[in-house]
Amino acid sequence: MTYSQAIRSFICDELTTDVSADEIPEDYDLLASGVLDSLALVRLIAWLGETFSLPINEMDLAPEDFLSVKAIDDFILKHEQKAVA
Amino acid sequence: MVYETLSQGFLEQFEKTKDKIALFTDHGDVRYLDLLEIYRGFCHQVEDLPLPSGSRVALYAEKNAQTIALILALWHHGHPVMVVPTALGDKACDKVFEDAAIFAQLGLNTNGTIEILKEVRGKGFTKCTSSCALILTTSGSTGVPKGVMLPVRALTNFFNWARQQFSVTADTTVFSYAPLNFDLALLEIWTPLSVGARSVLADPVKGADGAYLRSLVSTYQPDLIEGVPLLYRLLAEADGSSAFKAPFVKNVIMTGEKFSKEQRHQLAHMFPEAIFRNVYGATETNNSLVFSCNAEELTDLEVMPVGMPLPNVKVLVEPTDEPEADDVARGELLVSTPFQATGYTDPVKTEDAFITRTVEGVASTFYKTGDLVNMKQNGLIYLEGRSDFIVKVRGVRTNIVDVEIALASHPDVEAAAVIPLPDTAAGTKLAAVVQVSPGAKLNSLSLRSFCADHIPRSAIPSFYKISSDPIARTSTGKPDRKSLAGFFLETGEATS
Repeated sequence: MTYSQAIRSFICDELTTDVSADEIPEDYDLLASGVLDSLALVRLIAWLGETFSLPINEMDLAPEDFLSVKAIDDFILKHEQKAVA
Repeated sequence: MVYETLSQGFLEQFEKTKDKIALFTDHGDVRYLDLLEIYRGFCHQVEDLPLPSGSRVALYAEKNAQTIALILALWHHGHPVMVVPTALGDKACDKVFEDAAIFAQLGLNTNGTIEILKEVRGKGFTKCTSSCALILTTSGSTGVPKGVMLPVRALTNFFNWARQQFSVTADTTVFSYAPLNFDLALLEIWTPLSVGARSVLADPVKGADGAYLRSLVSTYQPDLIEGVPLLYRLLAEADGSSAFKAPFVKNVIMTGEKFSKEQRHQLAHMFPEAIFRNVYGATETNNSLVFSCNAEELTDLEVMPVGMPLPNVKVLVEPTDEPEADDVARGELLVSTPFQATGYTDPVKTEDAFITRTVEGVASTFYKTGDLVNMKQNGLIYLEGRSDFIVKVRGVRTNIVDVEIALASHPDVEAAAVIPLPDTAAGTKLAAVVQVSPGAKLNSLSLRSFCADHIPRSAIPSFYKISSDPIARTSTGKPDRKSLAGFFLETGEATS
């Protein structure tokens, strides 16, 4: 299972209100395009922590983790598995 | 009366070249003889009008022989003339006329008879002593237009300079795109008339019709053409073709806004034989700086300077920023020109914008342009933008005009306007209003990606309004940023 639809919904509800969720390509560069500026990144991380019960405060975070919908999805899957394990 | 000498100069010239054509218009050619006849008819009528001696009058800037002749007749009778945009609403007119101490607004009825449209009796109309001959209005992007008072001296100095600089002789044809109330009309209409040359009057109502403009240029083959980026873009892209060439044009004047590299390529292609002049000026000072180059140099330049001061023009750069390595100075440009206005019709605004500075022991009145510039060690001046257009986004200095140019360079974008919006966290965030070609499939994601390739990340707009609707503009064709900002603020688009 992936979370890309939920991530897309978050982005288009909060950050790019003129596009619909399925218009966001999975590999679209959210950082270079400025969709995720430093403030939006803070909001995204808080949302990830809350929605997916990730222990954000204990994690090492790198900007590349949030490069695209795909990268964010991989990030959730990776840490979700850790949390389960 | 000093205005008589101004009209007298024109009339003597008209007599000398009376069999020649003065104006090419959509309603037929106008010879100098015709202009003289209309003028004489108006002189008789003005004599009979109940206008106090020396009182100021206002006219709508109808761009035709009648209005030109009427201005000359009014000067002949000692009346300063304010020329207002035809699109200026009643309320704005009342305010502008009141400030400018206008006695009455005149118009022409269908029989060509002068009528008093409105007796304004603006405050202080009886004690106007200032020697202004012509009052132009500046654009209303910041509210009600300001009346700019141009004395006879400023006008005659300008005509003399322009004739010499652009080799305007009795054999020259000049293309006139701007409306009659723009300062550009001084070069495009009044300068040719002052020497017996010809002016091609493009109808401002059809000013957005590229095919119409192209047909005028092809038919009349002007030697000199002056325009803002919009004119050249319309000429180049009319009928969806880019094959238009006008090798007969000898002088191309670029003015008003920054020209992108792509626009300069278009220009070089259209006018392969021309000398290009990037001219910097304002209604308050007229032309102040110029940079000249040929077609090859025009396309090679990475950034085009606004050049060096014209003869007898003084410039000062009042530092607002630390100079970069090869800058002499960086800051707001102040200029003092022989073509300069005595001030605005509102003395309070005059005090804010016209200030005295002493340079090499000589005190002069300088106009604060509000433009930020860089002066390099070789003396060339580069325009950075309006001081109001330079904003800080997350602490990074950003010129919103550069963002507009980047957006507009997208092949599916027709025009773009960028508006800075206050933001509690970032200081300022940018919003973009983008007019796309009909049928284009662009969204904010594709525009952001495009921007990412052309401008720094901090300059990528945060909010977008994308449609094929034309962008709201002021009467002078500049984006109406105030109403555009309203869209983002009212719709709550800019609250995320």
